[in-house]
Amino acid sequence: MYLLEAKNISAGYGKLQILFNIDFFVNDKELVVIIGPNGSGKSTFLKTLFGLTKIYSGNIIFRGINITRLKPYERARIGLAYLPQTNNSFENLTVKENLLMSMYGISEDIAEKRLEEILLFLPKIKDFMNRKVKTLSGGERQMVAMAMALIRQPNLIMLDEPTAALAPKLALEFLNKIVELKELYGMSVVLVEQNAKKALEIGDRAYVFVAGKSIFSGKTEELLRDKHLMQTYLGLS
Amino acid sequence: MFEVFVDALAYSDVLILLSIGITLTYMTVKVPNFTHGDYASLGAYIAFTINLFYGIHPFLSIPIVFILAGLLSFIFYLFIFRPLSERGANLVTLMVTSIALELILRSLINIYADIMSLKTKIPIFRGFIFQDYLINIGIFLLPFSTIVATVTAVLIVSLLYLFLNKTKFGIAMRASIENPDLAKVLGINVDLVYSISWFIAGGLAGIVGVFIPYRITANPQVGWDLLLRGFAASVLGGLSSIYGAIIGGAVIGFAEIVGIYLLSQPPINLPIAYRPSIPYLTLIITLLIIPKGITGIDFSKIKRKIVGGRNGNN
Repeated sequence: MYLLEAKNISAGYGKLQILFNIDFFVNDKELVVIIGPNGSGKSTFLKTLFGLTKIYSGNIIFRGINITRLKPYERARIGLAYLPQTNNSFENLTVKENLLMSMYGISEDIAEKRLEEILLFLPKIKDFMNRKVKTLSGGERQMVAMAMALIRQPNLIMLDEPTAALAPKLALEFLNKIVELKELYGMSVVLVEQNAKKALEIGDRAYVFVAGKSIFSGKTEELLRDKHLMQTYLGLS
Repeated sequence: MFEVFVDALAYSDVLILLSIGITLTYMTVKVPNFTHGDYASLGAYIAFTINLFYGIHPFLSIPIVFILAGLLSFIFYLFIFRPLSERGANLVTLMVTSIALELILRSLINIYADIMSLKTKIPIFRGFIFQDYLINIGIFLLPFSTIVATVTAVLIVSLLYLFLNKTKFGIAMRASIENPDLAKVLGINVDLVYSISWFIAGGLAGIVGVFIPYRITANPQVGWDLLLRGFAASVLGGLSSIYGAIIGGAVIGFAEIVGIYLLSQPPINLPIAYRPSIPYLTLIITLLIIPKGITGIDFSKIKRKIVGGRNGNN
């Protein structure tokens, strides 16, 4: 049984269909990369998995449960996490309040423990715990957003271009943290990433999306070897 | 002049409570809610009815008024504004819906007033006031209603501050208003948070209704008359901040009362018929200077300029 499986998903916003008949799955402790040109539906797909778009057909199964009709907050409470590309923290709240909100519905004692654990994983956050997010730099904000997505200790975390606004060195650091999530904490990760080559190097399996359709799924090594696909759709040689 | 200040204070208290609610509903569903004034009318009629039939002092009916007006607002959110908003209704659709609901609600209050007038043979159902009395505090004689209104407003604003900053649910409310999609993906039940916001907003407007008959004759239209001033206060506050709404309420309240006092004095001697225009003139002038309202002012920038200026002078 897969950890998460999306069967024949067609989805979009209102009457605007973006995704067409997508089949997708994630295994336990697996890092799955979704790549594709701009506007191919990668971000929309993550939003769809989290219940933020309109699903026209298909089903989403998570740990054997059909979650297609669950509300986003219900999905968050059963072990799914999602880090949006932009607007991924509350600017007018302090970092501490942001982290507190990310543990909404979790009991006080567990929340306290989780906070300690996340500060061990991302210790730099301690330096700006009481500052409002709007006063932080891009890198600091992204770190806070990552902490927010991880603090619930989800089974599966979906990251939408988490390195997009970061300097190259910081981006690399960030991708290494993502690998750590899988290897040290046994978390599954779905990663949508602009830096396709680096993402494919760290991922186990990959999907290539073009115009709202999945045109490739398989091991990342296979994709890296497929020169035609790499050149035509990803601009990589 | 002291009486003018006291009058302005009492009036501002009412506008602050009203504009907090208007701002809360605007921040959640992005609708300028025209029914808001009618919750105040409803509050006035509930307090009056309870007073008339059970002899309970209007101030003691504040909790029940808060709950009933809050419930009505909650029901409107749950069954009308939320479904419309989820179906992608735009601002105009939501606003026209709220105007329609306002007319229905006002008609129902009119019907209630007529029925009660006929049934009880008490004609004042279509226009009533609550009797106030003066209290001696040191050298000052203050209307009891002004003291209660001020204490209530201060208490509510303080409680609201503590609620929004010190409780998990309050912080969730701020989070859900700022970025509802993110709040949802973090496990916050945004629907519940918004429902409570609407309940609080309606409840506060209901409380306003209890204070109105101490100032003017209350009738089924009284909430509507106050509503536009509430909107002015809310817009002046920036429409996106509860603290802005508090400042907006105080500014509009004081501008209207102090303004009409000053303008009616020699040598200007303006007739008081100009009174309703003062809050809107205040609003327009303020927005011309600060287009985003009071909360649009970058106080930290001003502080930096002042500190920089001082350092430069040194």
